[in-house]
Amino acid sequence: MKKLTTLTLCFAVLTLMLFTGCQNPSEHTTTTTSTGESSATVTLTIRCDTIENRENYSHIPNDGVILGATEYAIEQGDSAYDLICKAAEEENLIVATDGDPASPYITGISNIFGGDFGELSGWLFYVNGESPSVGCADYTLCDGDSVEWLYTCNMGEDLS
Amino acid sequence: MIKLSELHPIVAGVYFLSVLLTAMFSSHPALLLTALVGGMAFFFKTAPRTSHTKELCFYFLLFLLVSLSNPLFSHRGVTPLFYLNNNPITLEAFLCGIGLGVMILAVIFWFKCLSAVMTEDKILWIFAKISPKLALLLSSSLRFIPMLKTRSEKIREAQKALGSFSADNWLTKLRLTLCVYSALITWALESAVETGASMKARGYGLKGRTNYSLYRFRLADAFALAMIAVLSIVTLSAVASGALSFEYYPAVTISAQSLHGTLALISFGALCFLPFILEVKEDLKWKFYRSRI
Repeated sequence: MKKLTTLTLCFAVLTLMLFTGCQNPSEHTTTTTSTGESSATVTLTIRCDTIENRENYSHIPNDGVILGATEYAIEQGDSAYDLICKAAEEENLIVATDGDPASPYITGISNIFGGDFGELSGWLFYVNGESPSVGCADYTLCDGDSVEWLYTCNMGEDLS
Repeated sequence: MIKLSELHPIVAGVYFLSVLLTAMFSSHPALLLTALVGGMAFFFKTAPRTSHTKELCFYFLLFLLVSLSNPLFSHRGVTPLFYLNNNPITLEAFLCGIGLGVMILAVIFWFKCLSAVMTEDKILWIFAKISPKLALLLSSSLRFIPMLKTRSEKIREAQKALGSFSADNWLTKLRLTLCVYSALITWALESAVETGASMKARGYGLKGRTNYSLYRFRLADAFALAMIAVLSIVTLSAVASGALSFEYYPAVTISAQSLHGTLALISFGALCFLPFILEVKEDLKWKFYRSRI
């Protein structure tokens, strides 16, 4: 009996820990909408044109453009990760991350995942044409920045 | 046809191989469910009716663990149910987890049936033709775990009879358990060496040495083998050609219904329920004969 109680307690605590980060899909799209005044605009592009034979996959757009250059108003101090989260909410894209929530690694955007097209494939981000040396959550955006998320099949060799 | 356990070992081996291969390499939910239900039916028909509930509880927990943990790690899929730490938990990942759980349970139950039907002597007989050393290694390692179980119980009982485990102190208990463990390992190693030496002394595996074998390939075996071959070829060809393909990601897609696919489903159903039907048939026959006495 004592064992059972302990087990139930453990399970309850674990469930609580897991699901404190839970949100409904509808809540997810409203809670983080910016309320403060926006002070900067940046452009975001998401493309996957390095993938060959795109027409064979139903979930990949034929022209390789998941999100054409779109302007977003951001707040002072927003990171590249905040930007893609905002875009994901507004355009209904699914963005999957891995690792520490404080410095996430983007594994998949709209069901195209790193590793799907060869071992060296994955998502890379470029700001004004250059690849920053920090993670997307640590890169603070400035007014007028142009952010691109590009899918590579060969560690970035096939981009540029 | 006769019961699976009375068939020739090679025929029974081919049967289990084809069922297990299909269950492992297809992701079609209908195939997996058929395999699971067929395996469970045969297992519960043949296994002795003791302590099934505990085992079933364990398998149910395993199934829950697999099906619930998959969506936590896989974020593929187009239908997010909710967001966890900014990551989507998708319906597709959840369904895929359920599929995986059913597959694991099906394979576990078929392996349980396999170990009930393919007894040690049959496995030894099959592998002795290929390599006598491999056969000896396989048969002795297969019986290692049940042997350790019974022997540790024996040692524990002997220690108990000597009054060893009466102490309330957990440290003493732990020390005694370690003693039992040490005795167990010594015993197992010694008997392994003895078995090896004894088999060698009898000339096991020498060239020209023949084995007594109980198994003859009869007409019924040939008939059963042909039937199993036809049924599994129809099934496996459909799985291989994609007539029964099923994709979970990015969206659940099921292959269009085709004649080949339907035929494969029917033949796999027949294949899975064959041993169960044969058991039931034997039961009925037995009852019928007894009623005439």
